[in-house]
Amino acid sequence: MPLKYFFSILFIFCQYIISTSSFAQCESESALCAPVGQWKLSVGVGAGVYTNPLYDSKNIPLIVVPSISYYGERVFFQNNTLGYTLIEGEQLTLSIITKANVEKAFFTRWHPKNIFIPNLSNDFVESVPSFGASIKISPDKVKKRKWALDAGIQLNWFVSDSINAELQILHDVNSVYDGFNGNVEVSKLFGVTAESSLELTLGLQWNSANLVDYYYGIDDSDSIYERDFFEGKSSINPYLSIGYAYKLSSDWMFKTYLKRKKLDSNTYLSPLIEERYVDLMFVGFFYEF
Amino acid sequence: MNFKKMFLTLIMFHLTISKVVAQDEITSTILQSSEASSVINMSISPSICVVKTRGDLCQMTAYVMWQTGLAIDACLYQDDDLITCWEKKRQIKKKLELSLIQDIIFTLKDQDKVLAKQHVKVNASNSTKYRRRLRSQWSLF
Repeated sequence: MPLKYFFSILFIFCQYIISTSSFAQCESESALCAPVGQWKLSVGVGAGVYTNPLYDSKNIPLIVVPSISYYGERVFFQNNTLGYTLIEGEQLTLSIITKANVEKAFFTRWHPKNIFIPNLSNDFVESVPSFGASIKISPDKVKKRKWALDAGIQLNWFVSDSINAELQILHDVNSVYDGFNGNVEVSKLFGVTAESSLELTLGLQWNSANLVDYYYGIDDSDSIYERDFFEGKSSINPYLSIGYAYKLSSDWMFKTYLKRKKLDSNTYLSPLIEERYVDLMFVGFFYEF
Repeated sequence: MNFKKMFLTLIMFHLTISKVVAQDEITSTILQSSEASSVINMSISPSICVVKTRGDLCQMTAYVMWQTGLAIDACLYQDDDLITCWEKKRQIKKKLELSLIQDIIFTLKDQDKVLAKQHVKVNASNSTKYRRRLRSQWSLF
């Protein structure tokens, strides 16, 4: 079925089953609800790490974490995502969104000193074969990967006041990898009050073959050795996260967050990748301006 | 009938009529009083509490006043919660310390009989609308 028919049916389905009362369930600001028309900027200071699964790559330290959000009547922006809500109901919301694809983050040197060191991306690959182990290739030795800008749809299904199911289907609009990625997750908020919230999320992240092949594949533009070649295939990466926030005062909030994602074999077996799991950990204090 | 008999008869008739009228007047007064007792004028002032944002706790001092023609027994309720009771009172002015999150109805009752009602509203000065967040607070990663 062509994609445009799929979206048309989805749009009609949503119009049938949702109501039009947009703000029926939100009467104050909380982990569930945001004020309309207000920018929210906060900066977190603490300790954390975003592990890098690539071979010969350093983890991304998290010391200062900015957080920006804005919710208008239709437009919204939250951290990495800019969206426009087409249909908003009590239980279902359909939006078009755009956001930067984060796969490139693993190929970027985040330490300040690396900003001033030229990337040796024109060098030919130096693979590291060893007995009984698969070949590993440093991302510094392969062709430079580019940032991709994704755009697509996001469907939120508010199953109840505390359960949110979310579906995203995205395509890169700047034709970096010429593919798709998607996300389906279910979040449950426990004990939502004005002061604290605990959020548990289970999800599946899907990357199309073109995306996996662009970022994690190895071909003759990366290596002169055919033994190093790797073709990325469609991958489904499950993940689990838990986040806790406690409001200490009108300006300060304590937050901690843990996330683990398991890479599909179709991605993990790339010579560029060494670690199967991608972890995110952060604990710190956020100041809201 | 001589004049004397006629005079006495008129006196007796007058007294009888006067007694009936007086009785009627007494009965009327009692009825009026009884009707007055069911007409209760109650007010709670101020009847609107303004908070910054909807959902904030409103705390204010208000005065409840009521009066009636006859002394009555009455109790004041905040929704279903009993606040205070009075015995054999014709009028009351009492200070109330209120803590409200949402609109509330005060009811004056004599046992189960509702004598008067007053609505106290909570209004938000900040008319901010709210909508559901569509992304997790940690969506950067």
